[in-house]
Amino acid sequence: MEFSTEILDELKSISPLLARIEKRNVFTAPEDYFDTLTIDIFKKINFNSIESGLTVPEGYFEGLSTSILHKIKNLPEHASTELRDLFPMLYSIQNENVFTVPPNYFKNLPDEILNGIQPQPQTKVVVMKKRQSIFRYAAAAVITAIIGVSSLLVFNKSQQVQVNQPETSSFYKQAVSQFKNEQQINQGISTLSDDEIIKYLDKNSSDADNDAITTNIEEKGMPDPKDYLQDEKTLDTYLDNIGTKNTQN
Amino acid sequence: MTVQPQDDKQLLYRFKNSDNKEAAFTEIVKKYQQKLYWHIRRMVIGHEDANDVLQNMFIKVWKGLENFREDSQLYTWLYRIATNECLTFLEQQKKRSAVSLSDVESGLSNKLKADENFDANKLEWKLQLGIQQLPEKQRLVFNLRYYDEMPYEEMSRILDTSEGALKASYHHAAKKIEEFILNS
Repeated sequence: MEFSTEILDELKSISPLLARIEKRNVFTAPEDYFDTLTIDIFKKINFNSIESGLTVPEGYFEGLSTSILHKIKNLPEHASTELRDLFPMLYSIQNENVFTVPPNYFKNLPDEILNGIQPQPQTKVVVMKKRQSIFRYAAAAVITAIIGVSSLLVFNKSQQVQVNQPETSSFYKQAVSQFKNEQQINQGISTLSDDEIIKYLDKNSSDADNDAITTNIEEKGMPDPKDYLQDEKTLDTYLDNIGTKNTQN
Repeated sequence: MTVQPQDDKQLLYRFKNSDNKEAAFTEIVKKYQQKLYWHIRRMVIGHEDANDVLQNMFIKVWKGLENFREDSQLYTWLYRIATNECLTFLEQQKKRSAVSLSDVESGLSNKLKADENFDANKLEWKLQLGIQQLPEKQRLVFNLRYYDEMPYEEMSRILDTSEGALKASYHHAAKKIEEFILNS
């Protein structure tokens, strides 16, 4: 193999070393390979076209069952012959079974199996009555009623806690019978002494009352702490002013 | 490399219009079998693999020749099929052995070394080992130019790559092989 001038010049310009190496095919193909290649290719082409047709020899299916049965019949003989030819020692031992079973094992086996599968007593079937949906609604109504009544009782009880005090109870009964309107109530309250009011508040006032009182007081109008030192009537004057305001409102 | 397009046209005409297609096809096989075989053999190295690839390639040609529209020359078309079959074969080998490209290349080098005529001291075998170090496409370009002396224009049609890129690829390949030989 020799380079053409064009290829050699190009190679010399890129790599003089490669240009100096003799151009030679190091591979070899089998002898007569190219003579038979066309035949091999046509064989493959024909095989491919046969494969797509999927044909079988004539009479193949007619003789198939006979052929299989013949092979089955010949199989044990063939196996023993093969064993005799290949392993004479194993053939001489024969296929004797070295394991034993208890006497009459196979005779009694069917009975034992039948005993093991005696029919079981029929299980009692309990019929479940169909639940009626009305009971569910009734149960829900009862629960709702219990919750409602309980809530009402608890709510009323918390409101009546102060009223049920023995001393105040009689007082209110008396007040309700005496004072029919707001004017009469105000007149009645004005008859109360300071001690009675303080005593009442001590027993009956709650945090909620204190909050209500404090929220109604304007911080801006309250006396300065030093006013209490200068005039001992400062608080009375302030309370009088609040009372006046409230009555005006 | 001499190409005879006129002869090819006559062969194609005979194949398409004759009752004896086998005769025309046989002539085509005989005309190109050696060129294509060595092209494939340099890529897959082993003869058995090359034979499989070549036969499969010609079976595809037989199936497709009837519909060949002659937009390109027969010779270009055959080389393109052969090249694609080579690359597919190498790809299948990679998948089958689940190894990387470099492992396949070292596998090809091992096949070379297993050749009964292999002689590590001879420059032509060192050259072959150097070629096997190249990436597949570069190896194709080098083989087509160095052994088949194919014009870049023709190569461009086969590999669907610009002539400039092919020249650059051949240049890089030759430099890499030179470096391999100097370092081995």
